[in-house]
Amino acid sequence: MTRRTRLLQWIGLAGIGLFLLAAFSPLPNAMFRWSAAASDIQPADAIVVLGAAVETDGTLSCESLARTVRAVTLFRMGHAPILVFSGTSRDDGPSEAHVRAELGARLGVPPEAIRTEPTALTTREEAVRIGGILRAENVRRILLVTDSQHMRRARALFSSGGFQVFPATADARSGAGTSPEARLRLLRDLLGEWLALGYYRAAGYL
Amino acid sequence: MTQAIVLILTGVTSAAALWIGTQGLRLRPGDLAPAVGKMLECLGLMLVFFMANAALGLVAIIGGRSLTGAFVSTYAMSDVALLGISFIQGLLFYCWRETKARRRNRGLRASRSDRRAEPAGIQEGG
Repeated sequence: MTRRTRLLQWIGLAGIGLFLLAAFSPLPNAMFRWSAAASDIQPADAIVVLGAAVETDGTLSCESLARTVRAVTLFRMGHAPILVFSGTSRDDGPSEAHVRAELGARLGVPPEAIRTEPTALTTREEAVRIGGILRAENVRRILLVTDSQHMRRARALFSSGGFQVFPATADARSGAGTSPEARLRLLRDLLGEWLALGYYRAAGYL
Repeated sequence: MTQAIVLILTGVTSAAALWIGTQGLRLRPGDLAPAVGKMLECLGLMLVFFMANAALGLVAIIGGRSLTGAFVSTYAMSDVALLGISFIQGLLFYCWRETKARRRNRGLRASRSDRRAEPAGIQEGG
């Protein structure tokens, strides 16, 4: 048996081990709980809802919908007078920000309280462009709405932009996944976010 | 519940495969260990392809963003289709290597039998 064959076998064994651990043990749930940001709801000047995804026909993703509903609820509870929806478009479809703004209006948010940012493609761009909109309105305290894993990166970016950030988490995925598929998805999302966090640190964005 | 169903189902089909293998196809249980080794090797190749695809994709996306300004989301790298295609690549590459190994073994067997046949040929000739 060559060294190359043995190395491939070890990689294969590690793959099976990781798969079984992720699918059939509570490890992904524990990792989710460990790295999730907690909400800290405080009165603020604006509620900022970060983008997730929208289909070309205007259908919001589960993540986008969860964040929108959370933000509208916070607005209607009177936590802030301004609601900022972010989110770009896919191909020639409508922008996520505008679809969310329409939904917000239908759920009772006055159109004059809504701002949209439909051009930012990354979390960093969202922090820069939304930061510009908010500074023009003298906003200093924001309730930031995104999922509990994304919050750490997003909060750091908005804080470095001079805002006092209060996290308001909105998760479309439960951290208590009971099926193997749910736990595998959870692990995939966690790894993706950790990779993004590492990249932002390496690039000097955080 | 889903977890139990998945485990029971795969346990039953594995036991059935073992029974069919030993009883119907006359496979030797002793050959299972080398088969596991081959399976791990093949899986390792699949994962190498997946890691290579993901790494190359991330470098291309991030490099492309800074060089051309064109935006492609890095979330494309977490698409499950990438895993599926990587596995097909790994399986094909593994089968390709196996084909070469089988041909070499066949060649070795043929040359051995030729060598065994040679002395008889000399006797006939003498």
